Amino acid sequence: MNMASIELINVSKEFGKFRALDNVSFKYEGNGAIGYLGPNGAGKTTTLKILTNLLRPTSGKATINGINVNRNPVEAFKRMGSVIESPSPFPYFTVEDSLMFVAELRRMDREDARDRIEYYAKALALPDLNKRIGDLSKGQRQRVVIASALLPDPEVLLLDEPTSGLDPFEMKIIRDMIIKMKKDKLILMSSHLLSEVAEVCDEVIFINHGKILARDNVANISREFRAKAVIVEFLDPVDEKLISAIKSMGLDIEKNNGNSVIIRYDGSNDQRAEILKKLINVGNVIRYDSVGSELEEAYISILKNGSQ
Amino acid sequence: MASIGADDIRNYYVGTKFQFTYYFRSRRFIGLLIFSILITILILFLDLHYDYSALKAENSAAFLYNYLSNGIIAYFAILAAFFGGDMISMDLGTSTAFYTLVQPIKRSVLYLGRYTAAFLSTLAFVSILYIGAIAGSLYLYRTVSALILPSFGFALLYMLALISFATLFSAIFKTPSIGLVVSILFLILVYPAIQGIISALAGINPWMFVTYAGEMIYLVFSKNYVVYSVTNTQFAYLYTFNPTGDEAILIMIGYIIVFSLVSMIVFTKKEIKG
Repeated sequence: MNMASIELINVSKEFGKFRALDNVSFKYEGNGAIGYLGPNGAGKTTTLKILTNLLRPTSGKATINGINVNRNPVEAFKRMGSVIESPSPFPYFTVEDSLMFVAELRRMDREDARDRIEYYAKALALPDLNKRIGDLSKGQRQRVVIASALLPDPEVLLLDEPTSGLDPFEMKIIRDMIIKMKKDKLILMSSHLLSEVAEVCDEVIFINHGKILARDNVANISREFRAKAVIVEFLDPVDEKLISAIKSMGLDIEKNNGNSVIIRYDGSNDQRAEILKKLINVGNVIRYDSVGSELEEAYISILKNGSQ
Repeated sequence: MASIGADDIRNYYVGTKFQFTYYFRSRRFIGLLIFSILITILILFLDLHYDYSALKAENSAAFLYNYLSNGIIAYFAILAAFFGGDMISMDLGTSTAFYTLVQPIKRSVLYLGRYTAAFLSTLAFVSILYIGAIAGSLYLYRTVSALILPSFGFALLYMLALISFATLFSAIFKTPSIGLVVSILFLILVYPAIQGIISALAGINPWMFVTYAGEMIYLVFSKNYVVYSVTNTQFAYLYTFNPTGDEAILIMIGYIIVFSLVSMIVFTKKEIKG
């Protein structure tokens, strides 16, 4: 069996005069989760649609496990599960019908399929299996679709904003499932939620205006784009006297609200430790935290540089 | 041309089964079923107990001719539109595409499965129509004309041709309801109107209209119908064209091949942009 892989080779996609993807290339092998980040209209969904043959590239090649998706979609689909945009099975199908439709097309043994449906019904807190799709909420429908993508145990998973429209409880279920799945699957996941990508992904790709701006693993990105501000919360309300005392230490301070202030610095660990040391001499610090995440810093910085 | 393998045959079966389940559970199937049964019972009731004279004739064949020529074009058009008019747009025009078109099944096989499911669904309604015809004939004449078999054959072929025609609209229009409405309009209004004008007034054989071939469903009961005639009225010549059996079969098969092929190609090639 081939190692799971997702590869784009010089893929471009044009809609009339608009170039949605511009010579995009990347390759991932093995297992793990890759976050695909970019603003709306950056080209994330177009990439995922090309990888599922819902769109065909104007030029270039997209492969799953080495199989050209657009030339041999059926063979590629046998090896992958996908959730693109917000799919909806037929409204008159029950939850069970929708999952059995996938199981039968994937040649799953009937008993095995039933066991796996039972498993995902519990793991993803699916609604009653006899309920009709048309009667489900958006979140319930999304979980059914995610279950259908996982049901045949594919080697590759393509997820387009999988937690979009879900409530916090549902989001946690899906995230936990992705963290579990990435141990033996290759997952490419687009998302707007940077905290989500930071939590579940090992690698990230930044895309904007159809071009890959940067790609690296999350640890490297975190090192490179450290947060450059801390939020400090004191036990007592911050008054002018305290602000003056902090300013006199040469710190760049900005009042946040009530009991807290934001202090900007160069992002180094040394200065971060130094600031804390100074602050505990002027007030009772009860919280000392980064403002924004490293990924957020990276996202903003990379997109800003990319558009210049 | 891609070859057909065991996987495709199995997928065709799965596609047909699930599509038929979908139709069977849909409101349109249940609504149309109730409507068809009620209309059939009503016609029989009027005919059998109140001497509903429009249908009664000298023998079984003539009765069946009257029974089946009564609104059959509209009825078949509605059936074809309901089950073929959104066959492709039902997922290309909705987010269902993101569910069905990413499964390991060729789109052409999915199309054929759906086509078969649509045909099986309409078969139920066509059967109700013929059961009514047989019941009426048995009650009135204690016999059923053997010509009901070729008529049923023409009805099935006509149904296939109409579904093929309707699927073209489901491939053209993204919104499922538009494909459905346009199919009905074409088959009930546009086709019969143009067919009438070009045949009766211009004297052109309307072989290009499937509705013309569909007339064979009841013409088969008439042994000596006129295939072509010209009447000299005071104002103009009026032409009459009726299909022969062979001609009707050719037209219907032509529709099935051409429109199914075009629809299948559109379905296979279409990109999901929205």
